[in-house]
Amino acid sequence: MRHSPAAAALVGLSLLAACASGGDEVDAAMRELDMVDDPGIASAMMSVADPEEAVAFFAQARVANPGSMDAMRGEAASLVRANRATDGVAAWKAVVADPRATDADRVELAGAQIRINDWTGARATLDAIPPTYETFERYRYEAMVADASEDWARADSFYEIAAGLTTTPASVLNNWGYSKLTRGDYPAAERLFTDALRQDPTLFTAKNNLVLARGAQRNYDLPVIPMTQEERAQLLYTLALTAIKQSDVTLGRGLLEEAVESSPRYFEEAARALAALEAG
Amino acid sequence: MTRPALLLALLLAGCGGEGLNRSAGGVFAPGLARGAEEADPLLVAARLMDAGEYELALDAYTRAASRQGLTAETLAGLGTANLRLGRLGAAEPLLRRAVAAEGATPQAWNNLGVLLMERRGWAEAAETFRRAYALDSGSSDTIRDNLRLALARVADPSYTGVNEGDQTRVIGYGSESPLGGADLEVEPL
Repeated sequence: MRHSPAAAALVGLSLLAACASGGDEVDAAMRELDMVDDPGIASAMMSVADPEEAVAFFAQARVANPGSMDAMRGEAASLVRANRATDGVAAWKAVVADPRATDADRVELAGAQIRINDWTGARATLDAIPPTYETFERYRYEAMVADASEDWARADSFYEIAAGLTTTPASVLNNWGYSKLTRGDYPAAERLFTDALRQDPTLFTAKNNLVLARGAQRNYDLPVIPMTQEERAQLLYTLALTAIKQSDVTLGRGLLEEAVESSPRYFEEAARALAALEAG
Repeated sequence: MTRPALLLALLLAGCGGEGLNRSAGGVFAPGLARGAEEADPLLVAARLMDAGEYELALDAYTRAASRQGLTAETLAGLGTANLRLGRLGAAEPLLRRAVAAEGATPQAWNNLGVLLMERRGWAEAAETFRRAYALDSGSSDTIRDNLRLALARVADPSYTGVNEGDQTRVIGYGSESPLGGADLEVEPL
């Protein structure tokens, strides 16, 4: 088949037409840079996206439109989420230095400072927030800071306020109980862990802490709480270690055996501890 | 058939669709009433909720939200309509935003509590009902009864309530049946 010059010209034209539409694609790509203004994308990046991906997204957005508070906040929050709290503190400090910063930003900065163990910095940040700003997050961090400086009276009051400010106080009750455990007030700690479990029966940390608090009082019975078989084995293992540390070795050996037996899978740590105990 | 006759028939067919004035026995519903003033979508939605037409109420609340924005009232309405339809997953974020928004009502708190009870989050539901009851200054019997039931469930989560008849019905996947909990009452907005 012979190609006529007209057909060749037609093909050429259609190719050129395809080139011309490339400009739209560039525009679309440029628009993507402003996606940080789209609350849907930004909130997806903050919640379900990979943290590193979110950091890159918000960093790009911050470069694309300088001075955007949303981009700066997003980047700082994503850095903390990505376990890069040191960078996160620096990013939050940049946010707080801006005159448009709110009290919520200062609370976030304090949270990031707590993550890198900068307790004096966190305290200074929290002290700069006016007392009329009362949120759950603020009092949770206040209580942690008071705990770190062993200011128990203040910590208790802050924990109480924080627990009253939320409808899901399980985690803060668990923290409060752990604070009591640190002070050696085991019965109070046990009560708080039980409260935490009533609020959220699936919180394994609170179950483990409850067993620790009971073990510290030489009460080596498992408490009556809802638990799976695997959790039961873990709790028995915790109880056994507590018993052995308090030199109730025979009791501890019995508990370890029970832990190995009640685990639905091979429980390596417990089996190793049991072997070590029987060898030594 | 000649061309003028066809034209005439078409014109006559056009005359037929004049609102309520057309002859009886037609199969189509009357069209839009043009020129009349539009009713307040929030009022329409409230009446549709009263009438049990939750799907239509959802549409009305959506229209209200497009006019007034997502205020506490429209969010609570959207959430409650979804809750009544048994779409708990869709209702939960809406109701949570409604109670976090400025000017949250006790009804919104109560309905969030009902949703949490359906999801078996007894403790959080009790806290939510407690806030609803406090916000209402304790004047609602409905909320008090809901709070009582939630507190009973917190105290004994494994109790099934077989003999008491206060079992909240769990809504299965994909089904869109309205809520079946006998004792839990959704507050009208």
